[in-house]
Amino acid sequence: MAVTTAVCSQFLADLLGMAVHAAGNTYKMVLVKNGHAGTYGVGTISAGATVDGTGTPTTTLLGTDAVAASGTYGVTGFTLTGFSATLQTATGCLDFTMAAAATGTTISASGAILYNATQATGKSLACYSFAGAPIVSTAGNFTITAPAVGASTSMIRLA
Amino acid sequence: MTEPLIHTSRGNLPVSSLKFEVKWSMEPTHVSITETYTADDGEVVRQDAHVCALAGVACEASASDHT
Repeated sequence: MAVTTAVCSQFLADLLGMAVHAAGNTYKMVLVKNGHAGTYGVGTISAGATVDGTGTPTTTLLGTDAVAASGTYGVTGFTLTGFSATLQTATGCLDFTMAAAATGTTISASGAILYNATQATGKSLACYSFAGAPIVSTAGNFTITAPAVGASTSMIRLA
Repeated sequence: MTEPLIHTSRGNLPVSSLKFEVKWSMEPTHVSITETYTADDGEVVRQDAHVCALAGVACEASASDHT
């Protein structure tokens, strides 16, 4: 199975619905474990009502494909701050500030899902593949640094 | 002077007792960096991993001209 970097189609539908996502919601980046069973990408709908590392993975549930809690990393993922929706030239951009490094972790991850933790079902926004995966930490730090804000770099771009 | 220690899977160990390696992996969308500390017997006792995203993901809206 694979993680494909993509904006989730459900997110686009949610945008048009104008009722799901809000700046004040809590957004998270949850890691997908190496050796995951599910397929993640454009068809991913949500991370699940409860992201706790249980349940059979589907397009609506990350389930057992979630990286387990380790060190200061929680199973629900990194909490993002700094919601920023901007227009960069003719491109709409959505960006966040990533959380500080998780410490004392033993993790093997092949990708990540950006999702809205405020929504009851954990609606997903985008999936990111770690090309060259897995990314592995052992009793150490695990850090994700967000890309720079820009028309060709932002976390989610809509043109 | 006290020898610097580092937290590992075997507890705190002197940094000087470990082999240290840094590995970079350049991908189109991100750079990953791993810092690996290996004990004399070859066991990796600590590895820090960093993913530095260079670009997120783009989606193009459908558009057409009507004349």
